[in-house]
Order: sequence, then structure tokens, then C-alpha cells
Amino acid sequence: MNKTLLDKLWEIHLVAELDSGKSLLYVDKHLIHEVTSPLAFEGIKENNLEVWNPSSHFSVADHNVPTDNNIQVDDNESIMQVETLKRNSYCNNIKYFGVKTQEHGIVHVISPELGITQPGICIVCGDSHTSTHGAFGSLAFGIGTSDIEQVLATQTVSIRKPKSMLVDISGDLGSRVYAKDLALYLIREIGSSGGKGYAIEFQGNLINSISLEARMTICNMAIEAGAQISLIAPDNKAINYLKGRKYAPNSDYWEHAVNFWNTLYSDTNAVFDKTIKLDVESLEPMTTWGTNLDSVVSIGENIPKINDIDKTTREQFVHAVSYMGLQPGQKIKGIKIDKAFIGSCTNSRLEDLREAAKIVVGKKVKKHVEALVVPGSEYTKIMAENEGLHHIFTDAGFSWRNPGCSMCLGMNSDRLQPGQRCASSSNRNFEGRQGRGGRTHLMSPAMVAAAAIEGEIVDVREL
Amino acid sequence: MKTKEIKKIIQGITASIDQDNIDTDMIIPKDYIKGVSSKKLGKHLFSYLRYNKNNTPNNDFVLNDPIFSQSKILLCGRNFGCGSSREHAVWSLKDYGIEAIIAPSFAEIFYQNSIRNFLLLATVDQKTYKNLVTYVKSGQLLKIDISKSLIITNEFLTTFYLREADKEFLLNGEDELTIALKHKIHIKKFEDKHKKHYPWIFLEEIT
Repeated sequence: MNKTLLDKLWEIHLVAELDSGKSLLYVDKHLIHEVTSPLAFEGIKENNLEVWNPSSHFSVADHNVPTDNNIQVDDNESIMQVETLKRNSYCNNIKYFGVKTQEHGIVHVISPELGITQPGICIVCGDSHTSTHGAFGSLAFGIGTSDIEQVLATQTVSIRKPKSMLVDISGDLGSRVYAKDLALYLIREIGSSGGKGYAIEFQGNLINSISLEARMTICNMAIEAGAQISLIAPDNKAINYLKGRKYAPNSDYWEHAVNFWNTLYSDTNAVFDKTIKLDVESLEPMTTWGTNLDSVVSIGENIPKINDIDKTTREQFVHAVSYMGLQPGQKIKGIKIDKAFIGSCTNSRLEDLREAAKIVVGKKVKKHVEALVVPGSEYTKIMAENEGLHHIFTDAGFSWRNPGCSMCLGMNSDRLQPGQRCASSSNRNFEGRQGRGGRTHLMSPAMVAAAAIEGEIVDVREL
Repeated sequence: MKTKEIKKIIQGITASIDQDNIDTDMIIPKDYIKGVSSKKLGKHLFSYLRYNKNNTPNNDFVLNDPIFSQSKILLCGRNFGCGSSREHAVWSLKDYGIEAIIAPSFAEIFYQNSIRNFLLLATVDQKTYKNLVTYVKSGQLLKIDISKSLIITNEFLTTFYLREADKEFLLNGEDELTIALKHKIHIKKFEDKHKKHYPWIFLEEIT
């Protein structure tokens, strides 16, 4: 046997090879949110089609819901989008996880928590960060709205099989160095489009040693390296994580499912199209200085100087530095921030909140900084509150919010004002991503916490 | 929703945005993806670049230059369309009147969304890209012949890359959903077998 995990998962879901060279894959679970789905439902209606298997779809409003109880939604378009999702779900017999219920949250956070995400299934969503679910060994990828329509009507997607890339990670992460730092490091090594056309499988002793939460952070960020799909073979940790979850296999099927899950790994002789080896032993906390993921630096470094930049891209470099309000050659440490955001589908899980709380405990957010924690789901929020984490954050001056995508993309009122600078645990530092004119520095939740307290970007290990 | 046809020859003014990593947030900012319709998104294309904060046109942006405002072709840097999967990016480009994009490379999900919506993405090498940037500067027309994979100018001819299957797909005009629907019987058969092997996937809520 010499199949990769990707080969195995592809085979399990292959309905037909299409003339276009694409594969018609069977979709087991489909996650729906309010922004990318309305037109897919409209298309179904227009074409007189029916939803093939309603019980395979799950919907939740996460992108533009408010996270602050005190904020009245006065944005009619957002209200309309959420109402449309509700109506589309109801009319098509699709399970809808309502705002303020215990099941509500960011789509990529709630699906694993509810046990909808499982090894060996094909799971899609109209959201690029669907790669997150690959942390459980599911074949998971983001799709467009036209694809959503196809999934609703036929339970299939048409997709070209990617090449396979193995990223083998050895070493141990140092104190206060996290999966997020590793993800940023990988992107720095292979480039923000280095994973394009590949499904990345992560292996190695580091991957074995870390939690599912940390694995999800890594798989989530694979798309920022250009890879639509990322995978980690399920192990006992993944299996134990799922046991007893609401939508996970029940006791009648549990053993049967586990036996199947245990077959999901790349064979020893499997050949990958590309292999990358990374050692994280001396990895430092990482962040970004610019407006795309090709601007990753470690905390001790400086922004590049103009002479370090390839002549053909100097103009873009100058633009990025100026947009960010920084100087070429400037030190990363000491850059003043205005906002601090702990949240997003990358880093809003219980482990993330715990690590950030460890940094925050007994300290105060710097006066000029507005800091917020947005748990990824209501369930995470409750778990965190049971541990008293919310008190640690609010005592320090953080605002403790309701779940949602929030300031990762600023579709609700959580956004940066022009020129404001944010230390953010999210996944994209694009121009305007967190609000028009906003400036984003990506980092781990612990690094964000440290920046909030010091009022500037610091090395969390020195706090 | 989709115009299921593409012109075999695309000819028009070409606007160049000589920048790498133009992401879908830039193509259509978050403020304009809240609608429940794909229509009229063209006016918001590149909104943060096209308009100043007070909503007046930014005169430095290429599409606000009268020579380029009617562009049918865009010429952009590497990794065009990276980031969010929002298909709104493609809809806004098409609604504006863009029929083809030429770039050294495109991000994966954007690529798939574009082809599905019959928007031509022509990949060229970096050198050709730079030559074209220089050529179109003063508003010269480009002509793209899809079936021959050619970009034609008054001065030179150059080829572009488009996967043969995607070319077929664009010229054939049959959308992915229609193709999938033809496989309904296969899908049903597959599903029955899949259910037998993995029955737990089909269980509903377990309490």
C-alpha cells in the first residue's frame, strides 16, 4: 500500500471522474453561513431544484452578528442577511443554530465542538477557512456560492484533485511559542502562495504532541499559504475529542467508526509531490508587519530595508510600509497599538483563551488600548466562564464579548478606524480587512494579550 | 446568476493594476457583500481603491481615468484573488464589465469561482506580464483569442496559459451544476453504498 491520506479520502468520496478532469466528490456535511449562501438558495429556487439531503447541512450566522449586548443592530443589510439564512434553513428543513443558543458560534469552531466534523468525511463550506476541519482527518475545503448551489442540489462538488505536500514538523515549541507562530513560520518558509495547488498534510512529532485546538489553528492557516485543503491523520486525541459530542457517532456505531478512522493515514511508502521539513526547536514568536502574509517576521526582527527588497517589488513594499504607517528597517518590538483582538476561527478556542488569560492575569490593559476577547462559540464562552477566565479578562480591562467572526473581518461594528493599529489573533492582515484604513499585525493570542498590556508589540516571553 | 457564455474573442481597453496579491477583500470589500443579490456589485468593485473615504472618486486609480473606465480586461500581478472565498469578487468584476483577467498567477478558490462564472483568466509568465503592462499604459487595445490561447496587440503576439479542460468548459458553455445533475443516478447509487459503509454519517442528531 502506498496511498497518501489525500488519496484515501479522495477515493472514498469519488462519485465520478468528469470530462473536465475534475472529480465529482460526494459531500457528507455542509456548513452554511449568512454571507455566501443567499444566492445559492435563490438559485435552487429559480431552477426548481430541491435540497438533496437536508440533514447533511447545518447553518449558523456568524460573520455579521453583533458581539456586544449593548449594541443595537441598526444595519438593515445584516439583519436581512441573517433573516434570509433563517428563512432558507427553515424552508429547506436545514438545522439552524440560532444566535444566543448554546450551539451558536463561528462555523469552524462549532462544527468540531458539536462533533459534526469527523475523520474521513467530506465537509465543505462557502468559506476559505474550511481547511480548519482537516485537523481531524476530514477532507475539508472552502467553496464558492455556485458550488454551494451544487452541493445543495446534488450533494456533490466538482473539484480538481490537488497535488500532495507533506510538511514534516519536528522539535518542540518553546515556552510561549504556539501553533500560530508555527503557522506563520510555515507561510514565511513556503510563501503565501507556496501551497497553491496542493493539499498539505502535516506530520511529525510536533503535530503528534499538540492538541486538536492547536492543530486546527495550523490547518486553518493553510489557506493563507495558498492551500485549499490541509490534513492531519486522526489519532487517539482526535477520537477522544469527538467522543460524546452531540453529532458524533453514537454508541451503536462508535466502534465501527473508530475502526474506520484508524485506517486514515498516509501509508509508510506513500509518495508526496513535495516534502518540506521544519524544525521548530528554536522558533520564536512571530508576527507580520505588512499587508499580506508574505510579511511574516519573528519578534526580534526588523522590517526589511528597501535594499533587501527585490527591485521589481519595491514600489509595492513602499506602499505597504506607508499604509502600515511604519518605516523600512524599523524594529517590530515597540510598535504602538490602538486595539487588541483575541478571536476568529484561527484562535478563539478554549486553549487560546486560557493561554491569553495566563498572560493577562493580575495585569491591566494599557490605557490607550481598546482590547476585546471574542470567544469562538457560546459553548467555548461558557466553558471559559466556568473557569473564571472572563473575570481575568474583564478585570484587566478587556471587553468580553459574544461569539462571532467580529473584528477578523469587521462585517459587524467591531472594526478598526482609519489609521488604527491592531494586534490581532486572526488570519489576514490585508488592507482594510479589519476596517477601512486599519492596520493589522497577526500574532498568537498570548502575544496579543501581551501587546494589550504593554500598549505595543512585545515579546510575550519577556513579560 | 451566471452568464453561461463567453465571447471567443475578447477585445478591449486593458487596465493595469501592477500589484501582487490583490485579495478578494480588495476586489470587493466586506461592506458590499451583505446583500442577498449578485446584481449591481460592479459599482463597488475595488471600492476602497476607487473611492476616497468621503465617497469621491480617487483620481489616481486606473478605473477612474476616463481612458480606462470602460476597460474589459484587467492586467494584475501575481496571486490575484487570494484570501476570502467570496464569489462576490467575480460577480463584481463581471458586473463592472470585465471579461478577462491577465496575471502571472491566480489564487485557487478565486480561479475556480471565475471559471464557473465564465470569466476568462489568462495566465502569462512574469516577463510577458511586464511587457503587457508597458504596452497597455496609454490605452492600447488588447485582443484575446481564447481558442488559440493568444493575446494579440498591434506590436506583438503572445500566448497565455489556460488549462485545456477549462478552455473546453468556457467554450462549451455547460455549467458545473448541469453536469452534476446529469450524474444524479450515479450519485444516488454512490450514496446507497456510502450509507452501507459509513452509516453513522447519516445519523441525525444524537442526544
